[in-house]
Amino acid sequence: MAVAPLAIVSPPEGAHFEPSRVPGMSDAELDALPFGVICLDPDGKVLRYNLAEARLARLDRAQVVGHDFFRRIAPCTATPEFEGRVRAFFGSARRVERFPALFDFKFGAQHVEIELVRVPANDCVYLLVNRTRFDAPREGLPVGFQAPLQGELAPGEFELGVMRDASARRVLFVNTSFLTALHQTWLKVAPKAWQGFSREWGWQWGRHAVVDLEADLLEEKGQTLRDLSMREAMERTSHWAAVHGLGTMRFDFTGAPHGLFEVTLERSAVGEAVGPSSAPRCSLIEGLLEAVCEHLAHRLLAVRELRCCAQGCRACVFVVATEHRGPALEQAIAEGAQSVAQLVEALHGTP
Amino acid sequence: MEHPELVAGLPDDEIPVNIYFDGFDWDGAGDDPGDDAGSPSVEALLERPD
Repeated sequence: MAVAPLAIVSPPEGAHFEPSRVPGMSDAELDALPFGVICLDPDGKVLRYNLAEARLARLDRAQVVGHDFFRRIAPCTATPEFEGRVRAFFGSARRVERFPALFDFKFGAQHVEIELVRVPANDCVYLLVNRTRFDAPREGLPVGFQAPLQGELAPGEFELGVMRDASARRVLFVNTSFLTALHQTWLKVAPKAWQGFSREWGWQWGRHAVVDLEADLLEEKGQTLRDLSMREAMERTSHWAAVHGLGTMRFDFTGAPHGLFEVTLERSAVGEAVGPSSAPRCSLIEGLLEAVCEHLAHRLLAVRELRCCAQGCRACVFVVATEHRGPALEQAIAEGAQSVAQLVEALHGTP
Repeated sequence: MEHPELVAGLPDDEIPVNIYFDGFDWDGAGDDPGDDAGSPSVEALLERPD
């Protein structure tokens, strides 16, 4: 199934964007993009390789950056149609160039649209990679033509204590004492900072989760999140949360006529890890949901926890609303609002 | 404040959006969704047509 290029909201402080901005973006900004970005020097050596490209190519950039893209990482691109165009681009005056290509992996063939972007110094070129179709691996290709698997680039990793998931991403197995220890550390060094820190941490994590969600959907169904209804998009988010052990998410849209909806998280890993508290403690989830919902809605949003299992409640409940209502939400919650109906009443008249 | 959008290879005015989230009444203006021709009902935002 063919898909149009992916879209993502830029960071909140983001100015007007166009692809020529990519070379000036930080590594963190590149990692928030749901399409691939590869930066090559004139010799074809990989200088930068973003998270989406690593996820969709199922390679760890630790084994990619610094290596020859055309010979070692993607031999399928060592053709006049691909490598030839890139090399010619270095010697041309063109600012951008676009062309279709095919990435042959051993796990599948990916049809892509490549956009070459020049940098002013002309000492490197950026390849923006939009996947447009996923096919089964092509047969009958010459040995060594397909891109190598992560395990071939870095054999014997398991013996070195390196674990990977099905997409070859490095993973850690930690129990919730990891979160407990983190929370206790913040209570010790900056007692009032947990909420702000963990919300920002969750938001940054959510930006990466969006890349994950988009990549999974693209691979499984040839769709992007923008194709999905609100219920479908939130159900995929719920699935993502569950497979990461965060708990079970449910969504309630009865507050929609008032410009908000509700997310319930049962068995919150964060809430249970931080222990009893008089105030909501799942700010990590607030930030995570905020980033995912902002990507879907293409606008700044506020997610606030109405009640938390750390307070002894059966489940954690979050409210999603537009960003400018955040302070009013916080005030209403601080003043004791316990339900969406009470929030709606408190927000009445708030633009 | 609206986010500017970011997409490779598309001019800004051609960037597609999620029509379901875009149609949500984020301002909670109290419009009666579904009553006028341009305002989708909540049900229409939650489910894709078959």
